[in-house]
Amino acid sequence: MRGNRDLALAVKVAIVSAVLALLLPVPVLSLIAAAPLFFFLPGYAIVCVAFARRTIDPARLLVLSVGLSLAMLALLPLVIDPLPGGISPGWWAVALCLVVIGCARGAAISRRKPARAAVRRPRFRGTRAELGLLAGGLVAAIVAVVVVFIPFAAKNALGYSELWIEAKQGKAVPVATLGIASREQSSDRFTVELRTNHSAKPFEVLGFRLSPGEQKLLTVRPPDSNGRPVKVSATLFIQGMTKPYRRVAAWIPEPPG
Amino acid sequence: MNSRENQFFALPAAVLATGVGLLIVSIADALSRATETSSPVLAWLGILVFALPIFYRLTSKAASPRERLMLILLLGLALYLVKVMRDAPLFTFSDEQVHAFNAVRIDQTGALFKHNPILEVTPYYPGLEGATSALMKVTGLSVYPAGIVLVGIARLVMLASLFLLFQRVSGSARAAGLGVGIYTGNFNFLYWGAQFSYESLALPLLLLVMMVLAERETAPRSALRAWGVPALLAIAAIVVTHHLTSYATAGFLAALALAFWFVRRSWRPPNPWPFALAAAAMAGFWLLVVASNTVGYLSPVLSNAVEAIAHTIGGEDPPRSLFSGNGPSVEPTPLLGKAVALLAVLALAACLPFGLREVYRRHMKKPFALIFAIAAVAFFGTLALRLAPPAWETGNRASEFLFIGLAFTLSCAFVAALARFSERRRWRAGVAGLIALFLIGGAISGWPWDSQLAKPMRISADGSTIPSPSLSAAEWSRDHIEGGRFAATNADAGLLMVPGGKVAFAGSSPAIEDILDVESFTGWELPLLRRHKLRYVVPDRRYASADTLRGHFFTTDEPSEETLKPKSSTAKFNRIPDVSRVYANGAITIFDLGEGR
Repeated sequence: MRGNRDLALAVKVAIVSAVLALLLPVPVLSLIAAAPLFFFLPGYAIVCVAFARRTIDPARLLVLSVGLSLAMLALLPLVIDPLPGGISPGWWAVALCLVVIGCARGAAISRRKPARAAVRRPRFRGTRAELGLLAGGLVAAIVAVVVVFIPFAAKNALGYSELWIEAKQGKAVPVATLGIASREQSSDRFTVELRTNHSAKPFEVLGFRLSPGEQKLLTVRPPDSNGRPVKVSATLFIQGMTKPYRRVAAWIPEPPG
Repeated sequence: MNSRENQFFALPAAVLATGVGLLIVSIADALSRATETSSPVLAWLGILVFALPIFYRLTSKAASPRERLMLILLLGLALYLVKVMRDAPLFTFSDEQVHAFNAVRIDQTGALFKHNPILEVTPYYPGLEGATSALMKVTGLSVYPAGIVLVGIARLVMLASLFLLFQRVSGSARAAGLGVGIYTGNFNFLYWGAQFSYESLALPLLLLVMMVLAERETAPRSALRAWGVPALLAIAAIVVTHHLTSYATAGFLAALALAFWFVRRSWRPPNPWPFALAAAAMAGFWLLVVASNTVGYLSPVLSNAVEAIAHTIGGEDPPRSLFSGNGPSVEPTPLLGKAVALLAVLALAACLPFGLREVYRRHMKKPFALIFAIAAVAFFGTLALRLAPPAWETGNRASEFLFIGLAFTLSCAFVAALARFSERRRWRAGVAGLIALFLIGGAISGWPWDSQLAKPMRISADGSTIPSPSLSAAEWSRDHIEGGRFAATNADAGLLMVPGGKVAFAGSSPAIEDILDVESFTGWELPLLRRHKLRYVVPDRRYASADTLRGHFFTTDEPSEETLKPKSSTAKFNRIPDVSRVYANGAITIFDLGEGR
């Protein structure tokens, strides 16, 4: 690729991009590193080999490079899928780099004479006022996106509470975990009654207060049942409501299938 | 053109307007999430804040092609962010959850073509999901950011390709810019077309193919092969990405080849018939060898559409009423919204004859322009399909492709009108306003009024963040149940798949919705659940849970007989021997039928 600085640069950037994307532990940084390899270089290399003896204007070169890179991302899984280990990060990096290297090599051979970089480095000659407008727009857009991730109070949304029960496997003494999570709009007092086999009298009654977002985990130990599975039911009551609010039930231990 | 306007509407000013407009849209979304208002009027104002200056600048004679392209890309990015800000940080469209599930499965298993419980055909078109899983695997991103980055880049490619295509065919960068502006008025552009779904990658690739073939048409003979390489690669990528777009590609290329013959009486290059043949062969091969279940998926949709049209024309079925929701909880479109949408369609129709006249006068010898003019007329045919209920979807999907032709045709009319009226500012402002009307009217026509803004999925209460009941159930399942196959309502199943990571069945095949809705079992229900190895059943008493557009979110209406199914629809599961009722959050209950039972 001697004399074809753009192709040599494409190959170098592809390899560095692949290595950095695989090594960087932070996904966003990895994405930034991977972006040239995923969204530009494969298409650029293909355009270079297809148009090795012709010129193409920068706008079309750019659109084709990005568009064909997307096409390669759609097609390459079909090639990688049958390989040993299937679709893996390593195969992806190798496949994309091979496309770039192979096409760059083909373009270098096909070009009649060494070419200069097809895309000129963009030069921005903005005034201070223009830079200010750009910065203002960017800041406003960033604020707009940040607002999206802020959960707001929604006074008209109906709150609720969660109740769940999980039989714990493999314990010497049969136990279960009972979970209560408040998703209410305000702090409330709860009472939970635990029964076995639909008996009228609860074997345990517990009261507690939960704030919105707060949860309580309780360990449930049903009365001795000689190792036989018993059905434990939990009924949750919320302050100010006489009817049961939630009910769950589970076999402890789980009966054999 | 005076220098004051150049300064004022320069790209940096457009960037500032875009930032401010997006901020207004974000505030509108925030108000909706806070259940203060659900009216999208403020969001439209935000969109107009950036769209109108961009459209106005595009009407100018002075802007360079590069500036126009930058403005178009800025507009495309901003409109994409409107959709992203509505849903972040979760996929909420039902198709998005289906495709996200496929991408996660590829990421987890390292293999393609894994079964999808909701849309069985989707794993056989792995283009989008394969590309997304590549980003996930190499960078460690989760499916949501990987998906929105990919679709965002695809949309930029789409608009840039459209600009270059229109520029090549019309010979005018001004017409190209206006044409792309008009295309944003396509009914599906703002929301449906921006979702994480296979068509969102396939359509940009189709426009890339069109752009490449338009360039090839004017290229010297020696360059024909060079342009052929990108065209074939993009066609192959379309074929593995989306069924309908691959058939549309083959159909478009065949029509283009015929138009070439009609105009030039020649089958010799650059007539694109070999590409039409290649597209048909590739799509046929994929259909027969890899994705044969596509026939079973598409044929009922198309045959129902044909049947519905016949019934509606014959008077056997009443026509579908426009702007109507499905259910009592759906907010109807107000008069203002209907008026804007209808006005936009009327304006499109009123401009069409002028566009057709311009195409006839200036571009009749261009095969692309001929096809575009035919598509422009056909677009209004698809509007009629919206009156027949089962044909609505077919008409809606076809309109997305046909609008390309309409956008080109109208851009020719607008450029001619501006030239005739000597570039007066008020005429330019009128054209910009008309394109803005197409954009807003298209958004209202293409997406329900009450779903244009973000809805409360996570809210703040007493300093804590609280997820919606559906999301809570999905996150609980993810955190407390290992593996597991679920039967759930449509909305709950989507969230159980992503972010729940579960295999969740819903809908009518198998008959999950019947099992969940009936008040007592008649005998076939439990064997069916066992046959499909569905250990967990998730009845949801909210009628809204069948609605994939509205069922994921917090509700604001007090529970009533109108909004809740009878108690017995859930209570019947309590009577199954050995069943465990493992989770309850009010409307949603999760039953564990037990392993092997």
